[in-house]
Amino acid sequence: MKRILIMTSLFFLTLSLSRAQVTSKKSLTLEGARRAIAAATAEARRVNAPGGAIAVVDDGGNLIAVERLDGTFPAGPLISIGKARTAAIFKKPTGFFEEVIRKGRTPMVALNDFTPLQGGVPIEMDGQIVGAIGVSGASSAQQDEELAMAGARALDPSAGSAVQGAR
Amino acid sequence: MREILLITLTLASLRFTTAADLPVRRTLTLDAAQRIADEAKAEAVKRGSTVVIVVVDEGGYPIILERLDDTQVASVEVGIGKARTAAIFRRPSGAFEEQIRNGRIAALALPGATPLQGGIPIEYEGRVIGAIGVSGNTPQEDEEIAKMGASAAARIIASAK
Repeated sequence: MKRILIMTSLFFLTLSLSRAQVTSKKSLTLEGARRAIAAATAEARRVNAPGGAIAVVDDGGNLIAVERLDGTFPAGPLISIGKARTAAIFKKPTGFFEEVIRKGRTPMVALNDFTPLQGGVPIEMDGQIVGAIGVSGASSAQQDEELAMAGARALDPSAGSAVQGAR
Repeated sequence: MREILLITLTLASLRFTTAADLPVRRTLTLDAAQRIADEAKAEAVKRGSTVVIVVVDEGGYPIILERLDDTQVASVEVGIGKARTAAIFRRPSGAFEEQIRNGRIAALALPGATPLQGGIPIEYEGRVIGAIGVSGNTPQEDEEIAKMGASAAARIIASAK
């Protein structure tokens, strides 16, 4: 009986230990990604953007969805995926890195898997970065970022201010 | 004065002929690509498959891509590769898998090809105008899902007119 008790308590001890080895996190769904893309697309229409390729990635920078609006240059998705991935895995708007490099930190362009071009912003939910959205092919890098922020805001209304604060 | 008029006329006609001589090609819109992808997605959901679905234009560049929840991330690149292969070689990507299996190992060296079953050209009026690629499940199932999208293309495009 005593042995069983010890075994049982050992079992629960291991269980609680193993529980501490992993944590839970929210993960973005395809539905969420599409909602962000729809919001960015609506914004593109509203401001009469000449085009736009909009990509949403998860927190590991892996693509969930991309859409290329009619007339956008073919390489658009490649660039927007790169921007989104960079914003996700470096947890910062890509415009931040463009600025840092412009100010003289040129060696940063040597980083792997890195697209330091304005137009990628993280997507936050409940204060946690769950992915990112990247836009390429609008009228300017500035407009790329504005469309991306409109997309991110669709999932977290405070996203715009968070992006501003990070710059 | 007459000379100038003649030159102008010649130039004008030159421009006219050049423009008229250029072939006109159909291109897929985002709206059509979305609906083609939706057809494939409906089939994937019906089967409970976790896949990436991608539609590319005639040059092999993505127009739309969707990764269904819980699909392995590697399928993003593989799916794009299959679709691009079907678009730029204008045949199912499985044709190359078949060639290689039958001993034509050299097909592995084809530039820009992902010789794996699951990419199907999208045709309209007898021309390849893009392709759909599916990745994430068995090769057979990937291709069947892709075909559901590709076979709906003509109907989708016609209904949009």
